[in-house]
Amino acid sequence: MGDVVQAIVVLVVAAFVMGLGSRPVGRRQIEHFGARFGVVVSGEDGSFVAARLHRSRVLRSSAVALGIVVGGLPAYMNLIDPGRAGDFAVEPLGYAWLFGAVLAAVAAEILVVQRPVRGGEAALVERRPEHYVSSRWVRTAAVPAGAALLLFGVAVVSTDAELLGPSTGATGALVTLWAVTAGLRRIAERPRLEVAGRLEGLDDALRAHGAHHVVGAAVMLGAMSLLLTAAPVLNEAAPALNLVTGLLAYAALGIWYALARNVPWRARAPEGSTT
Amino acid sequence: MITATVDESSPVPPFEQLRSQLAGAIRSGALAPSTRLPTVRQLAGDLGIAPNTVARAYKALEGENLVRARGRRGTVVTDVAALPTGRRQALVADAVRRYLAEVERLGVTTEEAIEMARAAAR
Repeated sequence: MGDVVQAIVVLVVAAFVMGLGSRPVGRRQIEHFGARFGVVVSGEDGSFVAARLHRSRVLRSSAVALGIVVGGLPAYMNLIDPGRAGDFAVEPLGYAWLFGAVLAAVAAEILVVQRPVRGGEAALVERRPEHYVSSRWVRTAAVPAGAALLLFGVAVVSTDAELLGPSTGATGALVTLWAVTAGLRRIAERPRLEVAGRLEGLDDALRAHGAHHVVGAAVMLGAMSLLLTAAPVLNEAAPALNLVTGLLAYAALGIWYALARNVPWRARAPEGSTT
Repeated sequence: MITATVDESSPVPPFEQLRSQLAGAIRSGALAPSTRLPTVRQLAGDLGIAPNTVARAYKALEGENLVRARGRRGTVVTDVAALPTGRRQALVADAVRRYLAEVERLGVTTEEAIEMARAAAR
């Protein structure tokens, strides 16, 4: 009976996440979007922006909800590890919600079908990911992911089997690196709405919005990947350090939230750049 | 902002339209040396043409030594001044040969062509 109740709790949490993501994008959110990225969203463009924001948010929340179900349900119903029934983070499925967040953030940008308003004209300026999100944040995601891969590599070649944790951390690191390279490149390269004109600023703002979501989720996954990979090493060296790393996970959660929702960014059309 | 356009109704193939516009912008200095050009995917998406068309135009410009492909780091406008002397001389020699071939086709002798070049430079 207890298992059923726990399963219902997981489903309720997943439904709640989906419900949050499915709410319509209101005027206040559009105003927040405009203020955050320094663009004026007129009434005419408001519905276009709202539709785009809503679509990407539904995708992200659906993936997180699916991850919660995939990760939570089997664990709570004692299908995986009866000894850790209450442990949400039974690897590797316990982290499915986090993988879902990153993959959906990228998918939301990849699945944008954007055709230029005025076809046949293009600015001869290269758009790069750093035009839409700070390279500092990209490094914040990529460095822990790289360190996780390094640690995993060391553990693989070492003879001490206890140092080798589950490969979830290494997989997460690879997904993180993919998101901040291929995912961000896709955002920069997708067709422009307009070369110059009303939609130009909005186009940049939507790219910046997507880039911040991708990098925010990647920061979280990169940090978790490093913590997962480092856990066996830390346990052996200094168990007290696990508390510090646990706190780091919360910091990464905070960065994710801030990057996805609040960090301002003045998105503007890139000028011609030289090497 | 420097832009490129492709007119699908034009009898000139899109690849050639793009190549000639880029070559013109580079030769006129509108696109400065070392300027990074848009990636193939970006330009193809913005223009609504196939990536292969853009890649072909870039390849042709590379053949004319107007741009330099740097693998995954993109394509940049060639900075002739930064090239080694030997390489620069080879490019000049190549340009002279093309010039002489063209004037010969127009029925002008090499001596006359050199004199005309001198006159034009004055």
